[in-house]
Amino acid sequence: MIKLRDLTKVFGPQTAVAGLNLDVPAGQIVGFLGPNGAGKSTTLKMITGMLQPTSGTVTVAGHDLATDALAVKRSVGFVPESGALFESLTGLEYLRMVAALYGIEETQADARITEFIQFFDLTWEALTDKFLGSYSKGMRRKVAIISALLHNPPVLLFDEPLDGLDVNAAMGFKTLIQTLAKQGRTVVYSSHILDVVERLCDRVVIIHQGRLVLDGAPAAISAEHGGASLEEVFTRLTGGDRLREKAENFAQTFRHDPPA
Amino acid sequence: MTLPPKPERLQSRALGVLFTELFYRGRQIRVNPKLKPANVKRGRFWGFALLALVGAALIAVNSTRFPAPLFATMAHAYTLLFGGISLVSASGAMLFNEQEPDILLHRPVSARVILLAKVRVLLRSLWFNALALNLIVTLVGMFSARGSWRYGPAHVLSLALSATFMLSLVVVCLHLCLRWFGKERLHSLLTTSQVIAVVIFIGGSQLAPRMMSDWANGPWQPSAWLLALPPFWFGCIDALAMAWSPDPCLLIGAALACGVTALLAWLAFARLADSYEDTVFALQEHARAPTAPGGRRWTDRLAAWQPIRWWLRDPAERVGFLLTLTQVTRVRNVKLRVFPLLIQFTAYPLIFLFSGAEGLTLVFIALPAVFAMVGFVITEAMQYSEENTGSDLFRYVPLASPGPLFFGARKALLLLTMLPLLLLWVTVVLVVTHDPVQLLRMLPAMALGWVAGLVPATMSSYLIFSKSLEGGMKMGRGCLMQFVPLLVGGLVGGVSWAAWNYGFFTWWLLFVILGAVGASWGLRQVIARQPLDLEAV
Repeated sequence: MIKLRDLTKVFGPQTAVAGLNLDVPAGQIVGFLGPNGAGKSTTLKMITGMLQPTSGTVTVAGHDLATDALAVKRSVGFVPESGALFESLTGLEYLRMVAALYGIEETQADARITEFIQFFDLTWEALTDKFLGSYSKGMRRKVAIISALLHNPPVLLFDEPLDGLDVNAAMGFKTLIQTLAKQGRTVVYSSHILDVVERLCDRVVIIHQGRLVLDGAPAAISAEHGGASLEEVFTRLTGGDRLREKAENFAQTFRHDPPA
Repeated sequence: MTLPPKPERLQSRALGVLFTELFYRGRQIRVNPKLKPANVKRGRFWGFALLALVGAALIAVNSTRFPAPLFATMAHAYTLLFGGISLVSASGAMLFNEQEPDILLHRPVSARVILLAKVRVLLRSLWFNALALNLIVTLVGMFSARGSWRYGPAHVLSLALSATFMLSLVVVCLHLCLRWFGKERLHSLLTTSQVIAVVIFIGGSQLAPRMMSDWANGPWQPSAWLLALPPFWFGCIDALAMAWSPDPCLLIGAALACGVTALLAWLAFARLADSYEDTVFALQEHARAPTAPGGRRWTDRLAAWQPIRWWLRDPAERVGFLLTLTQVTRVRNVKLRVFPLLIQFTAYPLIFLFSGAEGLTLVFIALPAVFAMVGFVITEAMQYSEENTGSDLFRYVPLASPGPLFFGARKALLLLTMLPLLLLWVTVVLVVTHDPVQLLRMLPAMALGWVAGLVPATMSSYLIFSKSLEGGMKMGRGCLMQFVPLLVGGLVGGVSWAAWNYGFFTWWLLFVILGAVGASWGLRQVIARQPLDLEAV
């Protein structure tokens, strides 16, 4: 469903993604991991057509991004890490606007929005009484998620989707993702919360300094690394294996009383 | 499962509604973040009425004594400058919004559809404002003794053309600048162009009538240099309709209006529309050039300079100084509050120098008001920033009073605003009079500017950069307060003039300086004892 071939992105003197090759079939949930600045968000933005690759190809649902970007975009639902929304619209106005961009008529959109409202324990009043700028972080995230799912896309890309969601909403959302994957949708899930990724994803991909350094099922990875947890494997592969020692040494610098 | 492609019409309509709402509603919400959707004001009657009033005042002051082509040129000049200033300030956020790629670029909508939806909204708004500003002008052109009914339709048409010209020009310039120079420089360019627009507006509105005064109440004489002025091109269309005679100069002007507008519109909305997506990509891709290893910014070097280090011995003052320096030189909206004001206050007295023999006398009378306004208004503006939430820091660090932060900020403002202003006027006075004694006449202005810069910080809840910019737009009381330094400055200027001419200047100067020292000491005591306003969080 998603094919990346030699995908590269260079920003000025810095190579953010270096020759990434990846195949994600339908029905799979892939955890997309890496330390800060590893190139995860850049890769997701290239898959969605938000950033132009410097070289390499992206194919989504059979459509080549270079030749048919709009078809790729129609196939993808994306929740960006920033959670950016137009803050002077109400939630309902925003969702109707997004629906229109996917060619969904308002009556159809309203019916679908109603279903999402029920799922996320929202109300019509909540979506119409306030502008998005005054929503809580969790509410904003729910609206961003609804806007990614509204057009029923076959490919879902999530960049830190749980940020701001309460425990119940997060639980419901994770179950929803798993069910959608079982129905045949492809999910790429980027996050720093490794235990969620370990439990949720069928496969884990770790990138470091723009390169793929690990690709496999969580259980297989653990077995290959002598029963280590995903967190331990991650820190080993991304240069964080001496972090504990480093933190303990640094804590020693706090031994004096703070200045009055 | 993939949705079939839908016609662009639905997308175009949705985006049209979106950008209209963002354009008209956005500012109301920024001013009042707690605004409910039901309370958004949709009526634009008062905005229309206010612009019509401004237009009436401008035409009454400057234009009615000129022959038709210049009368029409004046009307278009005001419209282009008013429209240009508002367009430059709105279009940066509207055309190249940094949040927008995350919201729209991954949706199946082409960049051309997005650009054209924005253009429609901006064009509608420009034309509406132009019509409001020109309502009285149009009536005067139609029904005055030298007017003609044909001026009405011709002016409405030429306004539509000039609105298209304005928007196309801004789109082309922003587009090319973003592609060639990158995001950071685009922001500087937007700021600079707004400052330049203000300077042109003030300078143009004062100087142009003086330059054209030979034509006032006289017959129309074509002049080639007028063809260099875009407002004249559009004025030619109106003048042709009014005079109904094919004057060659007017024909060339009208042809330029149509030709240049068509060319710019093609460039902006056809030629560059396809690469709009690339330009928006550039918004995300900009990688700031790293500072050289071990390199320091000029602000750090200035603060590290020994005399400045001594001047800023208090660490909190040093923080206030550095923060003000960086905000005023780096944050676009703070820059826009400071530099246009500074230039505006500087430009008016400079224009007095063109008023003949009395020019210098007028300058000396005006200078106390200029220094007082610069001191007061810019200090007042230092409370506002788009990064205002950062100032919460000052509320949880062990700081008893915001006073030291303010004193540091004041020192930065003295360096950035008062010092250049002083150097400029010392130079002007020396160049014009060749008499250093005349510099003494500036001392009352300097003393007043010194004191006026302390006054805003004595008001409650003054904490540097702690209030949202939009809060600054609501400053009804602030606007009224700005008249106080203006009035006091005018009074001091008047008495200084009398003192100089009637032989009691030394006593007057002594009185002003002692008064300023006393007032400054008192105000500093009040500021240093000001508690932090925790309610404002």
